[in-house]
Amino acid sequence: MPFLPLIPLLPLAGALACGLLHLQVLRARRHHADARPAEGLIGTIATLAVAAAFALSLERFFALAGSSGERVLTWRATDVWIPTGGPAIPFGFRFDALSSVMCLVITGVGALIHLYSIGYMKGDRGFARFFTYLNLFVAAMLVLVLADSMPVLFIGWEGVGLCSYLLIGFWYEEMKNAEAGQKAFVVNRVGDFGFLLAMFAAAYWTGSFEFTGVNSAVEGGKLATWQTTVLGLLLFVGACGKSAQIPLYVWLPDAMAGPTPVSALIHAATMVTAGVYLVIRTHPIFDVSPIASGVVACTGAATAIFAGSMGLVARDIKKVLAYSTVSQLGFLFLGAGVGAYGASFYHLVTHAFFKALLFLGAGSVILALHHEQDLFKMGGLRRALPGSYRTMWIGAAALAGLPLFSGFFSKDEILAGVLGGRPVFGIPGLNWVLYAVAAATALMTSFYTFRLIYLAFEGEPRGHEHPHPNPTVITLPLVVLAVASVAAAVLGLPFGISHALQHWLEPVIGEPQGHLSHSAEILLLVGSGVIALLGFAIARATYGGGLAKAEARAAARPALYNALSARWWIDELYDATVVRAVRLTSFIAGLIDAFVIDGLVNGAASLAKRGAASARRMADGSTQTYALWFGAGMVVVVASLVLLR
Amino acid sequence: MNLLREELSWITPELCLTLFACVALLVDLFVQKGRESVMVGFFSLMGLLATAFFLYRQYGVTPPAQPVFGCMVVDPFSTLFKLFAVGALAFVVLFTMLSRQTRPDGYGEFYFILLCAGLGAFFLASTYNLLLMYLGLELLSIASYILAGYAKGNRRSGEAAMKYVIFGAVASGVMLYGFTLLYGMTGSIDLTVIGPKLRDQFALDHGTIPISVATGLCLAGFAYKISAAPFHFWTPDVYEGAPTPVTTFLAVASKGAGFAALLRFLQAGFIPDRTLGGPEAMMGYSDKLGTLVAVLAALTMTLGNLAALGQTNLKRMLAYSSIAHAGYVLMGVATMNREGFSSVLFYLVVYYFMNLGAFGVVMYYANTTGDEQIDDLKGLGWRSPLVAITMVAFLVALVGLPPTAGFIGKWFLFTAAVKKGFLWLAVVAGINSAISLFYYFRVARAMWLRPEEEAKYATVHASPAFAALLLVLAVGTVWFGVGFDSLLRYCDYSQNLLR
Amino acid sequence: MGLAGYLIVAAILFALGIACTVARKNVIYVLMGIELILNAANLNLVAFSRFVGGLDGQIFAIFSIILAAAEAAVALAIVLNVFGLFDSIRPDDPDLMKE
Repeated sequence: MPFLPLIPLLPLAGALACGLLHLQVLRARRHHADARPAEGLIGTIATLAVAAAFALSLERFFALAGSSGERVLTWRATDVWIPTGGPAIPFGFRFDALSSVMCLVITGVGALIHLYSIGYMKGDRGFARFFTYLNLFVAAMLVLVLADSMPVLFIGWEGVGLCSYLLIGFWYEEMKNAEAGQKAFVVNRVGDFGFLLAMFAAAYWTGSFEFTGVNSAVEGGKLATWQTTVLGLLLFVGACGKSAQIPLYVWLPDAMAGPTPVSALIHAATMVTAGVYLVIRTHPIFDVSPIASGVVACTGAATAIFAGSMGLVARDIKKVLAYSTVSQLGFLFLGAGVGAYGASFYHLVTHAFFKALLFLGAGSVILALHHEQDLFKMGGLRRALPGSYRTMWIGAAALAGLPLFSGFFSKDEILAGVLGGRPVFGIPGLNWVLYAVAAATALMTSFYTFRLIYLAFEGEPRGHEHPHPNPTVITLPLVVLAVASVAAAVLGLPFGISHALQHWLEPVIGEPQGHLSHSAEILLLVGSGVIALLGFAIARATYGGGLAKAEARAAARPALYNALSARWWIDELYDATVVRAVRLTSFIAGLIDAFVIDGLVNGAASLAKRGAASARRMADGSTQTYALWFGAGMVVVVASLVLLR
Repeated sequence: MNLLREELSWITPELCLTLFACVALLVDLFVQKGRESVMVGFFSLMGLLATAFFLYRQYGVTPPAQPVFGCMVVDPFSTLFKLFAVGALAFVVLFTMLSRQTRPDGYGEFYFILLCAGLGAFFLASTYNLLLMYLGLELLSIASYILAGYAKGNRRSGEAAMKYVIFGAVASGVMLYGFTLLYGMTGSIDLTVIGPKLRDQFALDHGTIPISVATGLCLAGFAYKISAAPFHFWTPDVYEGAPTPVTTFLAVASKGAGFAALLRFLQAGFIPDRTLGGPEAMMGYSDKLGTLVAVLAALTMTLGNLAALGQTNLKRMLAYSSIAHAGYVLMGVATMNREGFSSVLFYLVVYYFMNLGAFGVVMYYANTTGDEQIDDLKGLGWRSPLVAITMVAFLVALVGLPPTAGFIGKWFLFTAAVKKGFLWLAVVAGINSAISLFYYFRVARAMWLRPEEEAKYATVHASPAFAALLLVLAVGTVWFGVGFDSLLRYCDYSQNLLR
Repeated sequence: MGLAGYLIVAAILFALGIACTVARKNVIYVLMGIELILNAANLNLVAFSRFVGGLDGQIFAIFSIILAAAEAAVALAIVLNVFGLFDSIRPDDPDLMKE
């Protein structure tokens, strides 16, 4: 048996085992309503399954690195999985530069999160069910990234969607959770529809369902520009759904209803990046269509700042992180849209580490506070949870982009890519606008990230005096991820010190487009650092002393003290400019959300509702009305056959 | 004499079914009261088994298309549909035996009529003679009218039967009128003769008005049988009012037979042989017919799905859902080519599994609670996990999501339609699939919600026999989503020999 | 009288039958309308058989008449049943199921 298919098969086997154990528990509950699953056994099986997949991916990775030539490992189950009249659909996997890194991230971060979940889900009645879904998710995600053709990718695509839905609604006994799951499911279907259309269109125009076939046809200039544009836009609709971009982002904040490890694994580190992965995988299409790539870049930038501004005011710790994820995903699309695929992918990897870390850290806080998620009711946890505090601080620094943390370098590379990359829509000036948007978003990011840290950990406890400490299974993954959040920087240091990831990816994404001079690079780097530090400083000035002080100061501020204190000056400035601007942005964003997006969604819904009502009313129960319909239908059918040419 | 015997040997399945229908009627006379349902049902099952055995022997016959008595044909196409009908009948008989809803006196006749209806479906599937097609249709229809009203004293059942008989009689009358016009134009009631004669008429280019009128009327009749809009209005009322086993029969076997007859009708008379090349006018007419069917398909699936959205009664919702599915299947018919027709066959087999299953669950549930409201499904997932899980499989297949057969079936229909140039139709169907998600999903969600009053319904475990039936159907639903190669090949193969 | 005459009479009968089923407010008349449709078809069959060819049409007509009788018997039984249940023979009265 070749190694490659084993990578997804291992977690699948884990899912099967856990599923069987869950059934056993269910049967036991018939007799004892309180029968407990064998948590140790289940957790071990599930974690080991993913860890083994990680080991296997690592082995294959080194095999790949050692191979010469094209550097790709392939496996084919069959060339004709589904025969069609046209091109046959094969079933096979492709382990190349891109998918290898994805596999490592998915299984690596996944294994840590599995380990963490053992602690987090302890005592939950659905313990075995949880690990079944989680393992199944990993298997589906691996199929998604390993697929060598669009239909196979679609299997994984649907699989992760299903698992996401199941896990969001994991505690489905509460209506709100079930509805969040439903929302995610339905919104994702919109994206899937786009993806399916793209798949059919690609096969129809290029004669192939495989990525290599489609890409080479596009690169060979076989398609007209309008065709690639249509293809690119349809693909992007699919990516929008999965990766929560405007206007399909609405499901992700609600998805936080799921258990926190789920948010970390699915809604931060892996699944939501599938859209970006898809764009990078099919990048030749976007390379030749300025409209498609322009739409990607602009949507990404708009989503980044929009979601970022929402994050500034959120009170729920997980909502802050959720908006932050949407915002960072916008960054990834912005990078991909301007052709900086390497930078985008680099940020994808570092983001996977530090966002998973932040979510897991938030989970540890939530757990310690008996499922309290309101930031305003936290505070002072620094002493009680030193491990969480330190690791989350590192994660926050990486997300904010404080110098020398991994997020600093990866975000800077995207920013540099925006300036140095291809002109958006073919208009060079637009790149500057997008850069400004991205820089503003970076400032917001830095601010709300540290706002979260200060509100949760500094000051006096507000409401929860005695948090209980976390066990090792919870803190260990945090430490590992914190190390990774720092160390991941080496994948791509500036000035050509290390372009490891970029070089590694070159067989797939090609040479980076456009170059900036060294001096420009330095300037940007310094700029990014200043932006991050500024956001940090503002957050520290505002919330550094804890919420009580910030509020007290806001309530009664002596004018003299104001004038004397430089910090106050910053605060005032912040109040006058940033807060107003933010309020305005949030207000506009709220308006857009309420009228445009809800309007579209509700409009479609009410159209369907009205259509449904009239479709039902047609059947009024009277036999003769039915006969009348029959007669009318008969006349119309005959007439159309007679009259139409 | 030898010739007669040989021809008779080709219709052993039909003979066997007739024989056992009569046996069922006789057995009913001699069985003691109260045990009819079990005993007569048992004999009916035996009959179906024997019929299936004879059908199986014809499965790979050579020569593949065997004309019988100059009015029927035994070929893989008809054998597939007959097996389909026998399987559906067997499930309906089993459902009836297990159902409490249909247990008053006089159940010998019930099985007798059911088997007669099956015989009608047999004829519809295997004839190319207009007279026999009409006979088969009427046999099936008249038997169905009686079955729909079988729950005596039940007002809904009575109403269903009346609506059905009036609508059905008008429709079959209209179709008969169309048949007579075809006969008048060609001087024959044999589709194999009518086809070439029509081709000659097209070649003479006298204009297509008489042909249009005739085909239009026939099409209306077929559209009623497969409940395509706007000829579908009887469907929800009859499906809701009829006893659930009967509804199952109508939704699966009757509709399948309607499609079989429609395909044969179109194939024999209206599809030019592309290799030989027909007259220009015929090509044009064939495409026009296809476009009309495509419009009907779009209308059918849209109306069915929209109306299903707001339903509260599970059976009625499934009725509208089956209308929507007829729309999807019509997509394949609209292509008017071999690929489309074989995708129709494939989808019908898939449809058979998922609908039998879904209706089976409805029946189980109505038996348990005496109720068919979706909202009252609450907690089914907890009381009877097996039933609920199989139901989820059926629902997923009905939506058309992988890895179930529903996905693969729709896939073939979509590809066939797109290749023929009906991209707009595929888009409409895609949107419709998305809409359908809502109401199927509601059922799935209701099953896994906790009911407010835990003890509203006593826990009733599905009897082992019933659970086994559902499992078989669920496995089939999933199996054809993965291992569909051989079925696909058979569907394609049977197209070769159609006519 | 030529073939056209028969066909015209049949077409008129057909139209009358459809109108009758749609418009009459008594189920018995509706059933009679259905008979008209079937008899229009029978007239066609016999006329075509005479003018176009073969005995097929006449045989078809005989079968069709027999089937019409069977259908009428079943329909009347059902209507009787409905009358017992709803106390009405207006085709629009039973409307427990709609929408």
